[in-house]
Amino acid sequence: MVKAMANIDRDTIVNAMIIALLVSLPAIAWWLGEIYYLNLASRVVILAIAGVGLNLALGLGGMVSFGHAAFFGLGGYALGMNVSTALEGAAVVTWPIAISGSASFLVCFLVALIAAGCVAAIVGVLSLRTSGVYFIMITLAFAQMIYYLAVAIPAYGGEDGLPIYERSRLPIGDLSDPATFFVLCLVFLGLSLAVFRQISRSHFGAALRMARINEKRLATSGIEPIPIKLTAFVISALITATAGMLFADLNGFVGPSMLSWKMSGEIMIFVILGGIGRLMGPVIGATAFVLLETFIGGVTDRWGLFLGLALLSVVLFAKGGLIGLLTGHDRHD
Amino acid sequence: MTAMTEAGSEGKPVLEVTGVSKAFGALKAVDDVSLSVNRGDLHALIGPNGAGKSTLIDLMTGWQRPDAGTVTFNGHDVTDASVAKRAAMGLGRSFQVSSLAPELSILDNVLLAAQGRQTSSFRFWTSVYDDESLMASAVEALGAVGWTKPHTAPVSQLSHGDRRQIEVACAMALKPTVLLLDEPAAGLDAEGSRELTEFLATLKGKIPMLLVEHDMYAVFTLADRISVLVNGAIIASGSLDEIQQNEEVRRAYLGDNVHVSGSTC
Repeated sequence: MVKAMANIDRDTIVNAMIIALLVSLPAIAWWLGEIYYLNLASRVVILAIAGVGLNLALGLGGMVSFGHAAFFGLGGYALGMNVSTALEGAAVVTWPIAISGSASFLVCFLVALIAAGCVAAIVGVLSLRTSGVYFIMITLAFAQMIYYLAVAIPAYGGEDGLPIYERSRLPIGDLSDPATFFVLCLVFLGLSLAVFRQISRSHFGAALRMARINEKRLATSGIEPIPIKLTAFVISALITATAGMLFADLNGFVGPSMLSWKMSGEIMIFVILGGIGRLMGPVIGATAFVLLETFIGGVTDRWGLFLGLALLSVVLFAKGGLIGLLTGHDRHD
Repeated sequence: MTAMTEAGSEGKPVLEVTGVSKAFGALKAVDDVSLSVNRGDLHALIGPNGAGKSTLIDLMTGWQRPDAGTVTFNGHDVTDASVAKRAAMGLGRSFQVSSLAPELSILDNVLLAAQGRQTSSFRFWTSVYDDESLMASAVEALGAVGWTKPHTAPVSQLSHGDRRQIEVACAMALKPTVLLLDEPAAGLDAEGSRELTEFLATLKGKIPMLLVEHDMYAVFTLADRISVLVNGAIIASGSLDEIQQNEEVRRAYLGDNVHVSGSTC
């Protein structure tokens, strides 16, 4: 009991330190005028949000989705298509009715949520009756279908992708300012972490956890497993789509690479590297990933070797991921 | 099927299967079986291995759909209802092979059953541990099975007998209107089996039960009615005396040298 208390305290301290670093280092970069590092921090935060999304499905619900790039990319295209057509004064949809594009962040956000939510519901309904390797393959197949769809439509850049020449607009604040944009990303990370935390403690979270561990027990307890898993899958997709939208806004570009299976794999790496099912796992995982990519990638093109070694060590020796190493225990309950 | 005797039934059927059949390929696992669990009754289902007992339980709980026949629970036709729907209506069951979530605590396991019966699981923002009525139901269910040890330990640390007890507690947390117990004494030692029998005796009369059991001590001590399933069909159904006198049962199942005087065999 005393040990458990100590662990809870250590968890809180580690989480607080991660958040403090996530806020203070970019603040220092901004103060020194190092815009590059501020944008790098935004990248970390955005990828962390994508990881938090997948963590809800994978960590809490045990749904090994190898297609979350679909939702990441849909979020990106929702913003890219809207903003780029708005800047040209063109229509984003011409049939059945013409709707002109919007450069408003909130409109893009809404479109991203609706698009990702609908696609996730369809993919979920068709894939959640399977499990294990079949579930992985079906989610991958759907994501690849959307990838090739994006490649095949030349109006939105096709294979080359779609440049977005300006950031989207908010009623307050100028998102073209890197510091403002970083704060916006941070707010969304905070929101997604709050959603994850609340859900993991809720009635829904208890059912979802049992769906992961023992579906038979869940049904025997009077709770239908499929609706629980489907709902979690959709919420997970919404969070990851939000990240994709921010990612396109940050880069001023959206392309099929955001929809590729490599992206799905990277999001999964954030979660596994950081700690599956752990609140701050994807945050640490995405941070470690971007640091490796940036700093070791700056020295050698073969930075993937180091990523592979890190991932291998975590899977073999630290079941709780990097967060498990920091907090000294491999489960969060 | 006419072997079922309605004589001496203490109440209306709570759970009833009528003419159910289930075949797996050429194998008729359950063949035109009718059986009811009546209010106030403890109905024991016995039969040799491979007789179709587990399939019959699966048909009652919804893990399998019958090829023919109907399943009625609390006056509703639940033949096509899902496992979860039936459980949420108050059909509690324990599994032959313990089926708990090992890495979760005892309380978590029991709490979920209370949640399935009492409230919506689509509550995203309220902490499940702050739900006092669920907590009370879980503690009550643990009390009902006589669990006096702490309930924070993970199930993986429990002995086999303790897991059996927790599994019954999960069924009790559903506030069941009927309990299906699939070989609850399997793997228990003599003392564990006796404790279980004593516990079931305390429930008897309060909750209608269907007890599938190999342990004849438990069956003969507890059962109001016994049905004998052999090769997917019920060959006899009746009181303890009637079953003991039944020549067909003796030949098929009990053997000739069974003495029934409350001793374990």
